[in-house]
Amino acid sequence: MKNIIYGLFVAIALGTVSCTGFDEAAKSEKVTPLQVSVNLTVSVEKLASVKNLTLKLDNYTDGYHYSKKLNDTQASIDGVVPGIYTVSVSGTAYDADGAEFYVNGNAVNKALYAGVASVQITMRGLKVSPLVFKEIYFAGSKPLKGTSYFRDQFYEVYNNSAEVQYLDGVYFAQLAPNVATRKLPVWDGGLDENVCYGERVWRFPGTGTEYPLQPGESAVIAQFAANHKQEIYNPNSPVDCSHAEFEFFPFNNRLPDMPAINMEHVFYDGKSAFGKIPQFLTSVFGGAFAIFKVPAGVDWDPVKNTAFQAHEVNKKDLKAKIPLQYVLDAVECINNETYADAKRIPAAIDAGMTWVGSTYCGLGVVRKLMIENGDTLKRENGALIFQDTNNSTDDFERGVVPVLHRYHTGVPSWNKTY
Amino acid sequence: MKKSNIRFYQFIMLFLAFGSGTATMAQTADEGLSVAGQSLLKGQRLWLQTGNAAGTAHDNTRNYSRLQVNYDVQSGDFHRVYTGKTVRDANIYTEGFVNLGKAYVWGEFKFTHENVGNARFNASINDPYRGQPYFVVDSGVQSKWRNQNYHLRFRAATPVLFRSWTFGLEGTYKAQLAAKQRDPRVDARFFMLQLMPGVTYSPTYNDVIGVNLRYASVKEESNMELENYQVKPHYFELYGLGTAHRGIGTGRETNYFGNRWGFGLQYEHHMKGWKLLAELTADKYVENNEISFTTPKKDSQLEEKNLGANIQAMLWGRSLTHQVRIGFNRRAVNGIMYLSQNDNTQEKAGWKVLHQDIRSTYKTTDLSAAYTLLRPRDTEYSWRSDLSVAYQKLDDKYLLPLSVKNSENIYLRLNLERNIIVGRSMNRRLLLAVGGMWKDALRGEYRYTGANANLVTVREMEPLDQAYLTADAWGANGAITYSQLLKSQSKVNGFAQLAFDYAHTNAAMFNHRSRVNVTLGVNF
Repeated sequence: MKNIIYGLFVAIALGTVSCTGFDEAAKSEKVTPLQVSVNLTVSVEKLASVKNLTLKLDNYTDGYHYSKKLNDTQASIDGVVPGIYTVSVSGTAYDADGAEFYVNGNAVNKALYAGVASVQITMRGLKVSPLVFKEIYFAGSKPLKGTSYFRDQFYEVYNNSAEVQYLDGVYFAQLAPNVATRKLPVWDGGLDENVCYGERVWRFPGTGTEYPLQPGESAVIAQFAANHKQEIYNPNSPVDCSHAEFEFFPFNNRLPDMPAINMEHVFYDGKSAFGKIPQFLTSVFGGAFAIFKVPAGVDWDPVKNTAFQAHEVNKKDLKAKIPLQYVLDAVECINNETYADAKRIPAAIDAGMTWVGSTYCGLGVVRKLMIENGDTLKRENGALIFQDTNNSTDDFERGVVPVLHRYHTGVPSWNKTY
Repeated sequence: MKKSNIRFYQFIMLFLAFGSGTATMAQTADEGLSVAGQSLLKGQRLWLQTGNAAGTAHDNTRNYSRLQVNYDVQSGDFHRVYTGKTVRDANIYTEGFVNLGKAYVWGEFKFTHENVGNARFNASINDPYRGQPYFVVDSGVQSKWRNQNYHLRFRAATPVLFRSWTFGLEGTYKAQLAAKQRDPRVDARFFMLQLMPGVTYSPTYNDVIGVNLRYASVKEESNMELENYQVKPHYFELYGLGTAHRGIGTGRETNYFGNRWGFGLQYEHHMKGWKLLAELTADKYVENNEISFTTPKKDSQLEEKNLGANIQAMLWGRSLTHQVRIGFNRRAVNGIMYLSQNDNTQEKAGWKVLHQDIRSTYKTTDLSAAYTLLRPRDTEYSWRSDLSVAYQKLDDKYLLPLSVKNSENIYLRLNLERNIIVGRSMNRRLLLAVGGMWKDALRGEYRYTGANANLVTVREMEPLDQAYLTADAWGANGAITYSQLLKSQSKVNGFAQLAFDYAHTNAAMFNHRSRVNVTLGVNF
């Protein structure tokens, strides 16, 4: 009898300490659709007008997508399934001087559910850039022996405008965080929404007019400007980078300095020195990259000026704060489509993200050509026009075999490697 | 601790460890029980079919024991979607009941090693049919599984105390280990501990009222992994009726833990020659599902409510015995999903629950009726026939956007057994059984209107399961069992059984399922 009572006591005690789930289950109600309201603020100096605004609600995880054209800065969408959404608005704005801007704004990982169904979005403008990333190859390739070869990464910058552009002094930044993550950094002092954070920053050399890109010309920056198909490197590599215009030379003797022009190293962890790592390897899962130009007369020096430095809470390594209005173009690459809810750079500089879906697969991403009525759009001089809506999800083809100067885009006359 | 208590514990430990070996000591001087005899004894222990161990005193309290080894092979394509095309199962089972005078003790133990071949989709949990809708599947490549199951159940009960009262406790412990053998692979471990204390009261000589509580604690841990990290496979986290989140790579680490609380009420009325036992059961089960152990994310929860009613009746005639069982069970499950978000503030790093709501519902209704007619012969029967009919209705919904999966089936089964006396000595028996099954799918529908309708879970997995559920089928089964005393003047009956089962369907996607099993064992 005593044993039975003891057993009963143990059972009741066990149950009592472990019944919190019962309360939560009892509180749960059946799901109902939401009416989501969105309030927009357009942050462009001397704003004159906006047009072609599109509101999108994307729940990448559950697969629900809603879209609506807007004529006003207030809107609502009915019938939304509760969930975690990326709410984005994009369109075109003009200032009083007639300059055209892409305006984008988003709220990433916005939870929408019963009682919480309104979103406030500030849209920021990014001037339509003459220089754009045309092709990025970050995934690396599989060698004959072993599993990974990553020295064949490259980035190609294209003059998408009708006028000559000079690369001299233009910056290239690998943005932080290095890889797509749903756990965004906690910045000491709080998140500055007017900047993106550079992990490492480079600069094109030149005094102002040494490296012109004519309309339709592009320049390739290779991690290591060698013919990677050679036996000593990786015969499986898809690329020969020996004619790349520029190279991220790591300023050490581990690899030979190739004929390509060396990029200037500007910033890494608060210093101008390259550091001890053997090469400029960006994540083979997909990094985020920006090219930007500092306005004349502005002294942007993230090494000397700590105002342009930031670090995460409880971490010491320094990042460079890059004002969004300096950015010409940015592309956010992620591991694969399942990371679409892990956006890590502001929508103002790239409203989307792109991917190849695997590592060491020898594949990259390339910007789409503008096609109208089945014809590829070209400028008067025959230069191709690439699509640039500031949304890399839409603007890039994914998982293509990388090719330098694809579509035979022009090689600058100052490239002496041929 | 009193000396008598120490002896009691020692006995329990020995009993659980060695099954029913000690029962031999208390056996009466007879030829033991044949296979049919033991089946009859257990079948007529009506309280054993309830959840109240305290009712043991109101059943036949003859001692019995069994020890058997079994090998079972199933093959064929007529199976539910997660079941392997082939299942090879070797198990050892022991069961026994012993009347100690001051207490009744019953126990069973089963260990199963299972090799499953060509199983598809399930990539994360031991038993995808256990009612948990939130688990991970792969893209449907065929895989082997290696499973091991341990099942231990015991009952301890008092005889009638204070003229009218009995007390009892049932305990169940299950441990199941499952390992998928192809990427994305998984090591899944399931544990269940259930305790059911009970009491009965006899207000009159002919009536018994019983009540029991039920508490169960369930836990399953699922750790997915890759052997080949160079190839990242797709996987799908299920959220009901094909709704899924697609992932690429290793998969996830999932922690399921739940508790069940319930009760049962019993009423027995018996007169000379007949006995009726009715039971009403109700329980509620809540199982939580968290992803990751280090930074747990509340992902989902299921809330299950069960209601059951069963009536058993026995009539002992002059030459025939009749037994009737009528059952009703209703299971209603709410599938609850959490909206969780990573809180990356310094103070509260981790996942924060913002909201939860019911996204899907799963309802199962079972009705059954069974009639057994048998001719008793001493402690066994000479023949028996079993006729049963069952109705099952499944009604599952994903609420927003509305998707449905439902089916209704009627099952009819007939079994005939003949227990032949092969010889007058050594208690030699040949038990022959034949049977038939007919399944009529009355109606059924799977309609998906959610997102990502091109996922394999919607295109192939759920339609394949629905095709099985809505397939008409017929089947036949048979068994031949030979038993005899292993030694004269002992009570140890050894037996060997060969059984088969065959089900056939004309449904377009399937053909048949067959099963053969061989059992060797002893009753004593």
